[in-house]
Amino acid sequence: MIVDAVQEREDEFSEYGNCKGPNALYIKLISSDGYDFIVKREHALMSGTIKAMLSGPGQFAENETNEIHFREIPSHVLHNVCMYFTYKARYSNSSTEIPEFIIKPQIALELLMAANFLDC
Amino acid sequence: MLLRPGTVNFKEKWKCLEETVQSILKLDTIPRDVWHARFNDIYYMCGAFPEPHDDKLYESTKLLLETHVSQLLTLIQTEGTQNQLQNYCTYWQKYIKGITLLDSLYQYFNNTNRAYAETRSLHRRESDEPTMMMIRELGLDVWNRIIIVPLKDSMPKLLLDEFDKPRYKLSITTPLDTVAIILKSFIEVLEFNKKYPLELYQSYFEQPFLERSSEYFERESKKLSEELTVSEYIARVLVIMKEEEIRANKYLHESTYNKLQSKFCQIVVVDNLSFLHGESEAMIREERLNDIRNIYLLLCNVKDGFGSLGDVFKELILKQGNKVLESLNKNQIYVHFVEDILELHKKYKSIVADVFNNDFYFSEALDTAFTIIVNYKLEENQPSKAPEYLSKYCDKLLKKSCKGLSEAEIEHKLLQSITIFKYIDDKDIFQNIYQMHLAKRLILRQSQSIVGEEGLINNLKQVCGYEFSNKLHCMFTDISVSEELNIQFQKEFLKTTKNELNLSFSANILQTGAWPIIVSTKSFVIPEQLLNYSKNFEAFYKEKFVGRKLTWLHHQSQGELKLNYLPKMYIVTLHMFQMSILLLFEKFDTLKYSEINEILQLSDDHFQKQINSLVDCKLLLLDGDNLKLNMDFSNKRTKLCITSAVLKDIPQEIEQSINSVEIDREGFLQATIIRIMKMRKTLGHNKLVIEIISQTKSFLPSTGFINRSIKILIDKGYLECSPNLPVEYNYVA
Repeated sequence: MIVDAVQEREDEFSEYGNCKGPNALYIKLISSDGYDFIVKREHALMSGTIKAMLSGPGQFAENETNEIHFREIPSHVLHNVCMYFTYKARYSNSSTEIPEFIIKPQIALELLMAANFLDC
Repeated sequence: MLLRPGTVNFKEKWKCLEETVQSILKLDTIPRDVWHARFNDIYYMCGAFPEPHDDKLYESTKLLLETHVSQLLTLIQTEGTQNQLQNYCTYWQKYIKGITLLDSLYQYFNNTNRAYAETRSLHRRESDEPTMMMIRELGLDVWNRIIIVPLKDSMPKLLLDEFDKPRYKLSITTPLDTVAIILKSFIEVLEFNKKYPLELYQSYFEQPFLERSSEYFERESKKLSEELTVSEYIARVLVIMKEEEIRANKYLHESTYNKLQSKFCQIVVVDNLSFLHGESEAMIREERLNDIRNIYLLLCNVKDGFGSLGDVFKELILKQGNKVLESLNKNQIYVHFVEDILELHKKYKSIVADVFNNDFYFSEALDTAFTIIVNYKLEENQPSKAPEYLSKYCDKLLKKSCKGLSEAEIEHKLLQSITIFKYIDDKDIFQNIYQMHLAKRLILRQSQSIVGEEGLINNLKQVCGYEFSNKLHCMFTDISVSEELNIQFQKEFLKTTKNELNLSFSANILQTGAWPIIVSTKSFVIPEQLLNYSKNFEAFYKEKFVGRKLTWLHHQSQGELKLNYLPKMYIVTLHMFQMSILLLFEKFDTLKYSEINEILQLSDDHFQKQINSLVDCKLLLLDGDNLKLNMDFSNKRTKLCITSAVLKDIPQEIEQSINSVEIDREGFLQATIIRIMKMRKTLGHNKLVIEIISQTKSFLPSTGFINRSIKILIDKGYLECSPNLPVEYNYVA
C-alpha cells in the first residue's frame, strides 16, 4: 500500500512536469543557506547569467536534476529574485495596470548586487 | 562568499579560469559545478576591490587565445596543402563553438565592458588604448589576424581550384560544403565590422573568383560557338547557366550570384550577340518555338538584348494576317473575318504567353500587328470594313435564327468578339452600325435573349465607356414600356368598344433621340382596316402622356395576313406597304398600277420595290399595266414571310451611318479642342495634338483631320495663332 501511495504521488508530479532532463519545465535554484527554490525554466531564463549557465557545455542527462547552486546568494535574496521572475513574466507585454514591485529596504542592497550578478 | 566586492588574488583565480578556458576551446566536457563556479570567478574579478581586474582578465584571455590559434596555424601549415582546407574547416568549426561558449561565460565581463564603452563614447574622449572588445569579437579578431592573414596567399587559390573542378568535370577532392563553410568563416570573422563586413570575403575570394569565372566563360563560349549551331549553343549555355546558379546559391554568399550572372551574360551573350542574332530572326520566322524560348531566356536579362526581334515577330504576324485576309471565304465574309482573325490571335497570344513569358515588349508587338490587321482597308480612302463585319457577326449570333449553337457557345463567341472590338480604330462607326442592327432586332422581335444582348453591351461598355451604351439601354427600356402599354391598350379598347376584334394590334413607342430611324415617308395613307385602331391608339396614348407627339413610322411596320381566297389557307407576314397593296384587292380583283399608287401615295421607287417583291413571290400577277391576284398561288409551306426582300441591309444604309459618324466626329473634335484650350489657354501645336489623341478614345483622328479642325476654329474665331515663332495657339474667349 505504501508502494502504491508513492506511485500515485509520482504520477501526480508527472502531470506537473519535473526538473529532470534537458527539457525539464522547472529548474532548482539553491541558495547559500541550503534552501531549494523550484521555478519555471522560462521564468528563470530571464536572468542572463542563469541562461548562460544553463547553456554550458554538456547537456543535463536524462535523469539529472537541473539545478544551480548559488553559494553567494542567501535565501532571503534569492526568494525575492524568484518573486521578481514571476512578476516580470506576468506583467511583460500586458495592458493591465502594473502594480509596484515592493522591495524591503533592508535587503535592497544585497538584492541589487544579486541582480547585477544575475543580469536581470 | 558574498557578492560584495573584495580583494581578489588575480593570479590564483586566473589559473583555474585558464584551465577551464583551455578545455572549452578543446570542446571537452566540463563538470557542471566547475562551469557555474567560473561565473562567480569572473564576477569577482570584475568587481574586485580596490581595483577591478578587468584589464588583466582581458589581456590574459587575449594572450591565451592568441597562443591557441597560433598552435592551430602551425598545425595547418605543417600538415600539407592537400588537407589544408579540410583541416582549416574542422579547426574553425571547433573554434567558433568554443568562442560562443566563452562568450556566454564571460557574459558579466561583456556587459560591464559594453556599458563602460558606451559611456566613454558618450564623452567622446580620444582613447589611446584600444577599447576592449567583447569576447566573441576578440576571438574572431584573433582568428582573423593570426590564421587568415598568413594564409591569404595559399588558401584562396585552393578554394578557387576546388570550385573550378566541377566546371571541368574533374573530381572534387574537398567536398564543396567544406568550401562553403570556409567562405562563411571569412564573413563571420568580420561579424562585428558594421561598415564593411564582406571585405575579407570579397578581396580574398570573390574578386579572383569572378576573374576565373570570366576566363572560364570566355573559353567555353568561344569553343561552343565554333563547334555548335546557334540552337545547340543556346541550349548548352542555358544548362551551364543553370548549373552555375545552383552552385552559387548553395555554396557562395548571396551577393555573389548577381555579379556572377551579369558577368556571364556579358561574356556569353552580349559578346556573342551578333552570332545569336544571325539565327534568331530565322527562328522567329520559322516559328521554332523551343529555340525561341531558349533564346528568350538568355536575352531577357540583357539590356536591349532583343534588338529588332520584336519587329521581326510583328512582321511575322502581319504576314500571317494578310494571308488570312486574302483567303477569306466570300460567302458570309463577316463570319470568317471575325473567326479566322480570332484564331490567329489566339495562336499568337499563346506563343507570347508561353514562349516569351508575357513579356511586355512582345505583347506590344502583338497588339500593334493586330491593330493593323483588323483595321485593314480594302481601298485607301475607304474606312475599314471591320466595324461592319463585327457588327453583322454579333447580329447573326444574337438573332433567333441562329441555330446549331448552344447558349454557352454563343456567349463564348460574343465574348471573343470583344477582343476584336478592342483593336478596331473606328469604334464609333461600329457603335452606329450596331445600333442600327439592334433597332431592327428589337422591332422585329428577332433577338434570341435580352439577357444576351445586355451582356454584350455591358462588355462593350467596359472597353469604351458609359456614353456608348446609354442610347442602347434607352432602346431596351422603350421596348419593355411599349409592351406594357400594349397590354393596357387591349384591355381599355375591349372595355370602350364592344366590337369583336378581328385583328390583333400592337404598337411600339420609340424615343426619337435614342433610335437611329429616319422618318422617310410622310404621305402614306393607311388602309381603312387599320385606321380605326391607329386613331384609338393615338387617343389612348395622348390621354396617358399629355404633351407628347406621336409620328407613325409605317416603313418599319409589319403585318400578318391570312389568305382565305385560295384552296389552302396561308399566313403571310408582310411589310406594311405590301400589306396595304394586297388589302386593296379585297374590294377589287384587278387594279391598275397607277390607281394603286394614287390610293396609297407612296414615293415611286418604294412603290416599285414593293410591287416587284409581290410579283416575284407570285402573289400578284403583272399583266401589262394591270395587277391582279394570283388565284393559282401555291407554296409548300403554310406560313410565309416575304419581308426579307425589302428589309435587307442596303449598302446605302451603312454608308449613311458612316457619313453621319464623320459629321459627328468633326463636331466632337472641335469641342475637344476648345475644351483643351480653355483649360490650358496657350499650348504648342505638338502638345495639343498629344492631348487630343489622348482624349478621343473611340476613334483615331488623322493629323490632316486635326489640322483642318484647328483651321476651322481659327476661322470661327475661337483660336488664334500667337505671334511667337514656335507655333502656339491662344484661346480667345
